[in-house]
Amino acid sequence: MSLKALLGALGALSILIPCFYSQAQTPQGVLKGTVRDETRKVAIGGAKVQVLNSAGLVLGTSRTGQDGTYLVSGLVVGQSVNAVYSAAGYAPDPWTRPLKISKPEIVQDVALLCDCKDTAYWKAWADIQKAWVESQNPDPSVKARLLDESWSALGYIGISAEARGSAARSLVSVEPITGKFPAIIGFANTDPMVLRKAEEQLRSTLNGGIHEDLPRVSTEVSGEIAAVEIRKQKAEGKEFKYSLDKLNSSWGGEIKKYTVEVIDRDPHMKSIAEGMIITSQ
Amino acid sequence: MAGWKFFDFFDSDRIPFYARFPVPAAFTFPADFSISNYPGLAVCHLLPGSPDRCLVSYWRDEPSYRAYETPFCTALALPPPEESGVVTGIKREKDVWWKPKSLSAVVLAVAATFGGLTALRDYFAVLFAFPDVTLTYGDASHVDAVEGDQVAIPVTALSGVRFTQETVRFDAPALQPNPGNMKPWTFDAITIPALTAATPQKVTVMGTAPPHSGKQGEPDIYHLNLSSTANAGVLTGIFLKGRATAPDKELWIWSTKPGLSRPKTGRTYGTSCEFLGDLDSPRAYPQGLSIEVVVVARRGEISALNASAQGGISVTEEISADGTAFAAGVRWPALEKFHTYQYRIFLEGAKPADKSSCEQWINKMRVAVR
Repeated sequence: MSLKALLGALGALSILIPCFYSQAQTPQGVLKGTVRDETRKVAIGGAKVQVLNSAGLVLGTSRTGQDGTYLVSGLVVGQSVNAVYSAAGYAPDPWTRPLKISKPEIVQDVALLCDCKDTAYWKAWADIQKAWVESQNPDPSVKARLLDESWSALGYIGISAEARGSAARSLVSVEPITGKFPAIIGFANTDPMVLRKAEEQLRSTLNGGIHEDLPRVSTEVSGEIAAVEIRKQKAEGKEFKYSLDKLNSSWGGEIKKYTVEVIDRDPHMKSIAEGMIITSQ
Repeated sequence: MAGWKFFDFFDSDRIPFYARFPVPAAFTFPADFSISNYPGLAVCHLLPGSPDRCLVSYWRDEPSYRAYETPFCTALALPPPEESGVVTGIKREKDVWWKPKSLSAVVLAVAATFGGLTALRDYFAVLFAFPDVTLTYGDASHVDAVEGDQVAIPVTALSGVRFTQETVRFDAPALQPNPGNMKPWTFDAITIPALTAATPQKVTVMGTAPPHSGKQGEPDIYHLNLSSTANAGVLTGIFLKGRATAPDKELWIWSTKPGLSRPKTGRTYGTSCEFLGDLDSPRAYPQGLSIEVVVVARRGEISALNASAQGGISVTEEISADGTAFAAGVRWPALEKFHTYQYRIFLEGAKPADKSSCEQWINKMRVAVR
């Protein structure tokens, strides 16, 4: 071996050894999975998946392919991260999932719901919910409560008021007993345009706007919509009390009270929503 | 004027009669003589002569002369006439009515006529006025409204009738979609009881903006139909009703949410397609708004995707790991109320592009507001 070759080999080793050492110290991990629309039974292509560390720094970004699969590499095993999923026209948007990269390959499959007013879509969703609830508990009163919770979870994940109206109408037609819940029947019986208007005005109110001609919607409908908007504001870092005060001054104490009740149920709704969204881990 | 009167004395269908009497040189008309005492006598006068003078008399016709010959001759102590007979070949002016009048008289007559008519019109307008109402909007441009909004459009009624007032009754206003069923609206006052020319009056058309059709990327356009019936004079008002229709007024109904039109194919360049779309902003977004374009295709079908807009900032393209999904976007720093913003999407494929192949990409494209 010539001196030149020896020096070259030593140089190469000096580069490679630290690399191997480093890899041995911080084993690489990947986050992969699929993003699907389980109601339509289709993959959602083009959905964005971002992995952030606890400080909010982006560790990796990916887009789902035609088959809904994604892969975020370059993660470190043992690290705690937040995986943020978003797809235009779907909810939750975004949905943040805290994860620990406990092994080199973490699989996280996600199901998102269409934030649309498509009646056929929500009919299919109501059928799925009914089938699931019946498999859980055949008792009619428990069944009705579980369906109410499934519908309420739509608000928790940020589905628009108009889409919730479609979902409520489908749910009542599939399982009429759900019509006994004031919020469900309120949404089912309210004109989609009025729901859109109420949503817009509540959003505006919470941002400091003043409206004189408030849409005629029930306390339950107003409160449910307000809760969705307040959650969004909380996510943006706005003070909860400020939002409630605005709501109280413009829409009245009764709606504020109902909104607080809705938001108080959030921990329970979170578990229900996660049950709908997380399809495997 | 005297000549005029003289000839006027003779009727066109009578033959004047003439008689000449010899009179002494010292003859004078008695103080109490007047031709008006002898009906039919037009004129009589002395003709100087030497040594004798003569008195000439003209009568309307021979019967008049015969009837008053005796008292006439007696009064003037006249002998029998030297000669008498009918008068023929009288030359007289034609009856041209304007000729004998002076210009000032004509002007005065015309002015007096107009004055008289005006006075008649003014004093009797209360009875005979014809209705004349014009409906106008203060602003000729269209009215923008978000669905569900309470909309109020002021309308001005102008009266074209002077010297009296009109009563204006408005027909039920309606919004006419194109196409679609009329949507009734209301007035704050359906009648203006006393509209005068001096004081235009305003009424307000009110209603709720109808729901947006959901057609993405454009406001719905409605036409406001507005008309009225008016009556003016006490008498004419019984049978004469004046109709007035306001000029066409467009009402643009916007969705409460920002609307995105489905992109349309623009130009094609080599393997690239250009798509054009609109973003409607129903309210101001001072903090800005983004759109995201996602195209999902088979591997290798697309090589690049990007989006741009005037006044917008392009968002960096993202591609899925398997090269089947492409995402791009545009962010506008701020959006104004009731504005439409155009965006462009450029998609580069693997094969030469033409209009029909570009059309197919639209079905694989998702554009959404973020």
